Amino acid sequence: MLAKSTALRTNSRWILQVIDAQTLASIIPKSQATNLLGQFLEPRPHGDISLSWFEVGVAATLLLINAIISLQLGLGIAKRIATSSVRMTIQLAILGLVLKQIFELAQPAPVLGLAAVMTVIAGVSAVKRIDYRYPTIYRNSIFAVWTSAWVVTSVTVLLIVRPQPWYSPQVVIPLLGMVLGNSLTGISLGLDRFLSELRNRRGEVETMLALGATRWESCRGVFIEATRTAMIPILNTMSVAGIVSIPGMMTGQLLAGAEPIDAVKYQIMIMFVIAAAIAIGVVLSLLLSYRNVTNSQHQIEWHQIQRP
Amino acid sequence: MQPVTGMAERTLIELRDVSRIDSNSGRQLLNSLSVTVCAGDRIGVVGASGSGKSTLMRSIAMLDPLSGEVLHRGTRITDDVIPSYRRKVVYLSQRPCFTGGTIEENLRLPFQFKSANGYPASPFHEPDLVAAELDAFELAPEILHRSPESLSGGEQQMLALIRALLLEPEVLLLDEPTAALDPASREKFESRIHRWYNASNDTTHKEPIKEKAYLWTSHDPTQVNRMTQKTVTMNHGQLTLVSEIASNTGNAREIDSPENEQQVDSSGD
Repeated sequence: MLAKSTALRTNSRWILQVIDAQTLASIIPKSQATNLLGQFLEPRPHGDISLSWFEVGVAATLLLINAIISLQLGLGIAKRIATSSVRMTIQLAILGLVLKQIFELAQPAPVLGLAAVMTVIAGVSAVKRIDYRYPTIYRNSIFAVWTSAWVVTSVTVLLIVRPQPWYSPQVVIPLLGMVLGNSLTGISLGLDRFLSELRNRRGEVETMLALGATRWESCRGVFIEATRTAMIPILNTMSVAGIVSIPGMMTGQLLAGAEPIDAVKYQIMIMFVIAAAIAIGVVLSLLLSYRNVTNSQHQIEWHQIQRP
Repeated sequence: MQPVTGMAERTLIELRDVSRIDSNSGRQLLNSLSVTVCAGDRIGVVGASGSGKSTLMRSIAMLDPLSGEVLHRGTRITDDVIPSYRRKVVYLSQRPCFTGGTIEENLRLPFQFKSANGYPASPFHEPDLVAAELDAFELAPEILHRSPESLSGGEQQMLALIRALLLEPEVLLLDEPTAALDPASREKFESRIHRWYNASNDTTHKEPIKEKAYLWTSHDPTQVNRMTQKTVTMNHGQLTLVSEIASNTGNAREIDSPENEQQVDSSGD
């Protein structure tokens, strides 16, 4: 159960987020492939960021060491490391092929089609980690992810980045991926907290109802706490950005040889956009959930909130 | 419902054909119950665990989704008045619950709800009132500044009662309120309920008019005899027995209960 959810989380994050650095950056420079083993240790020309499969293998070896340690100590995560790694590799390879096709087609329909598929996967993935659910949670999660990510991405693409044509897959897909990945994390955290906290504080919530609270008054505390929990990761990311971490997209742009100031401006813009998407998605998903687990008679429909 | 007249005016709450089905198991928790609670009623609710005692109490407070009708003073309770109805018909659970913060914050909380509009302001404007309430349970005023977790179960239950009484309810739904209390606390709890109930006697009238009522679930037959004048027995979500305890003697007298229409109706007393 835990293994499954972790794998799925990894999976969706990879699909939706990791493309940001690679794609945004790798589109810009075109360099000759350095596939020969002999060239591995030669210094690479400035702005060349293409990798050989051998070079990718070096990175995989780092994880292999972890797997060996885990086997030695009996940590029991070697198998999970292996399956997650293989999955990730296959998924990204497929993504690479799909993106290649779509980049070449450069038509609005396949771009929007891929965007829609990514959005639905994000909506479903957001629910996967949630312990307690109610029957319509998938519908609500997909709706919240869809609305928040598409509104925010539309604004970013049409008003800020303004690519020609507007549906340029090189811009739309990685941007949407980044927004989706973050929005789904927020929604997932928020819903999980809201539903489990509602259950944990059942006595408290019911006491308030019994003393004349409306359904909103009784759930308000839990709602606020869930919103706060959902916003913590992005707030943390924003507060350490540039000090502890250099964000993925900026890293990609720097690797691709962009001017630091340009990369920074882009990153600041993206941070705002992501934070906005999370806030919209979280509040939307929580409001829908609140409406679904309460009724107009100021009751909580506890039977709806269940472990899957 | 016909317009209320004379005797019927004393009807506080009426449950008509109320059923509740547990959505998960499909089990019928309440099976088309009809119950009338009149001003002055002191009803004991007895029955085995799981027979639906708590469900009945919660249903009177409309805390769970139900089918059927609940009327308050002859009027169907619409959705928007449910919170203010619950202020008048307060359900007190066996396990008292508090929100974070101090006891004082907890006692103030119900006066911050929207349903508090039109009620006298928080009793903390009259500190004597709160002090008197605490005094009735021999609780020191300092307890107001403590956190609920630092109190014993007995103290918590007394404070839960105080919190309910500050709302000046007309009906109390007491769900095994003293099950976790020691005998001394239980006695204090009972006498406070007694005092609250009798305080509604309007002494200016020749015949005292009782305005309040309570329902009390308990597994302790002596407590039921002591605290209530009428008993209903729950069995598999139905009222199977309605008996009246002749005042003071404690002898139960059984009243016929037709199988399809269980009524607890004191209007013929």
